[in-house]
Amino acid sequence: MEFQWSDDDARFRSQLREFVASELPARWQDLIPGEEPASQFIVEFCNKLGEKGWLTPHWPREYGGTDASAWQFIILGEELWSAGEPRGSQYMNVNWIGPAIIHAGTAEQREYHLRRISAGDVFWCQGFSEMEAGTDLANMRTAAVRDGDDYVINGEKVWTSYAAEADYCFLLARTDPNSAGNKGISIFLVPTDTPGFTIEPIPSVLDIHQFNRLTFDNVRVPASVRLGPENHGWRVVREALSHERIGGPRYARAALVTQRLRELAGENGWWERDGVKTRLAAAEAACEAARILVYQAIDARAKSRPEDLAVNMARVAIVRCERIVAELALELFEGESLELGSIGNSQLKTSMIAGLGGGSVEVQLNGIARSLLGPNERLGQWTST
Amino acid sequence: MDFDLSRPQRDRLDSLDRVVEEAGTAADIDQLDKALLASDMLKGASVLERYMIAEELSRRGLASAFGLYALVCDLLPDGITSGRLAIVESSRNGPVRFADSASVLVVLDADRAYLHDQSTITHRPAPTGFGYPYAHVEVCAPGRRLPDGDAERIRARWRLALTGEIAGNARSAILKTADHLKARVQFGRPLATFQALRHRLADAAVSAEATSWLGRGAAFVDHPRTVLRAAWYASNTAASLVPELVQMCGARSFTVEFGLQVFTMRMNSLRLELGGLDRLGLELSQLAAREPAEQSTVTR
Repeated sequence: MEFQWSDDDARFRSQLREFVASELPARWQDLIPGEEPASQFIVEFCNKLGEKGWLTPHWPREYGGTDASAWQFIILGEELWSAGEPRGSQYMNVNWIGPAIIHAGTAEQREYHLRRISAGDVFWCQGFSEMEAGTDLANMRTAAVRDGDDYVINGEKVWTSYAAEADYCFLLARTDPNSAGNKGISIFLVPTDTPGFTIEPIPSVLDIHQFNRLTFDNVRVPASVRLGPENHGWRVVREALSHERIGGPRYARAALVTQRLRELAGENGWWERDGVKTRLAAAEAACEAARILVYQAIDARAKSRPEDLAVNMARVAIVRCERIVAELALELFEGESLELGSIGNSQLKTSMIAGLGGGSVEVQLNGIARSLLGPNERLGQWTST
Repeated sequence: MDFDLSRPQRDRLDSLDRVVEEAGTAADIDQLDKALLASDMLKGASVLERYMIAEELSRRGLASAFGLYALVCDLLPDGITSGRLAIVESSRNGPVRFADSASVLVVLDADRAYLHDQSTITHRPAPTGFGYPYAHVEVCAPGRRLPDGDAERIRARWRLALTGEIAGNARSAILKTADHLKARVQFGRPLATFQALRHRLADAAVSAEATSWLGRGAAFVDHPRTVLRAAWYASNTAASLVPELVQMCGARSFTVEFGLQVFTMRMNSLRLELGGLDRLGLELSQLAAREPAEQSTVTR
């Protein structure tokens, strides 16, 4: 047991910081991740990352990665998330859509998609939630019906982030109409310009983030866009989602915001206000708690061990720290937080997303509870050191 | 980064297991501590290994003084300790843990540390019901002053010990509560099937897990600010877990026969020894001002 970075990982972080400092305009430091989801700048920035093999360092070399450790995956996330996430929505491709294709894709799908993702040339969105199937994804109704060499897709997905800029949708649809629950679901890699596929924004109060409605009206796609075996998409998604749950290292940015709030407390004479020091300590400790639990999950991933429980715990800690830092910012800035773009306003909105983006945090609590209380307890790490 | 115990770390915890097993489950804690003190358990031990010993003893429900000793003894002058030690802040009142039987008492003021043996203090037992032996202490003669800087180092190690002890108690308290929720049937079904309780226990488990790892990480670094942050988290964990777990177990959690109190009352006492969250938060701010991090680039 030891908690220091290897020389390779430390060098990677240092080189990444230098790169970010030289390539990223200062305004990015103030952006909330997702606030600028796609732009020509992002494409160019990601192309440069891709040229260095830094967009997907943790991928196998044959697919555009550098065979780097899972640790470099999280270092990359920490450094870029803290800098406004200049990969835009590409972080999804890099974190879990690409790995899902590596895991379950055909040779043609890997050849076509992975090089484009690792080069930073393409944006994706995920078509998961429906009006009647949010956290309970297994209740989804969007249907894909086999018709010769094609599938015909009908249905509606909602609250989809980054869809307006996306080139592809990682879509879940039910392929067995007689199935229930998580059986009979398949994954499709659908170009967003396919006829019958429409995207419209859903107005929301989260000005830092846009949600969309995806409508599939007799969308015809070749069977070759199905990822993995028919009716068995759930297993692929479950694995992929564990990558998404800790893929956005929100604690890294929250820790920077906390540090900024500490500086502002000194500059603005807020020390005299009751509880400020305690709440700063709470925020700092919560961010570090999230960080160490994420590292625990990454350690399991690096050793190819089951990581579910560690990921569940890490995700809960991430949500907690976002909320604690947001409350602190609101407490300190009070009415100023009504201003769009203020620290309090932005932190409030990102914390409101934290418990839902990547799946409801209650699902993580369910997972932890299953470990402790059954059925099928997995108490290994709780019964010994 | 490696979250697994290395072979030497595992060997050291195995030797702790052996001493505890040889002492027997019914062993008197005084006898166990004598056996631990007589062992070569700490020979060449890193701070992290010492921390793991403190955490493990508490996880086993043992009110041993050896965890605290393990973390602090290497900072004291050679040959000064031959038995248990106790630590107290001169500015704080109340009974002192292990002071009834300590061969050395360390008294800390803001930036100095003093050593006392039994010849320079008097003590009287203070029954508390918090799961550890306590005594009121009175200093009757000046102690031996330790070099400048030792107070801060000793205080940090003391906090590490308390963090590890809270982590160990928290882990076992959660498992004990989990067992209860699985076994206890109310309204015709096990309490473990009620989602309200499942989520509360899961939330508590996250705090306990983070407490362990923050403590281990802080022990590895052995730096006052990192330790203080872990200590703040541990204190907060103890404060939040105790009422939660007691609530989940119901009135039986107050009874000795049920056994949860071994962990909950100790968590109560350990967090009080760490100091209140405001006190720790204040000190964290003072340390942050003394060692400012790189200026944050985030402006909103």
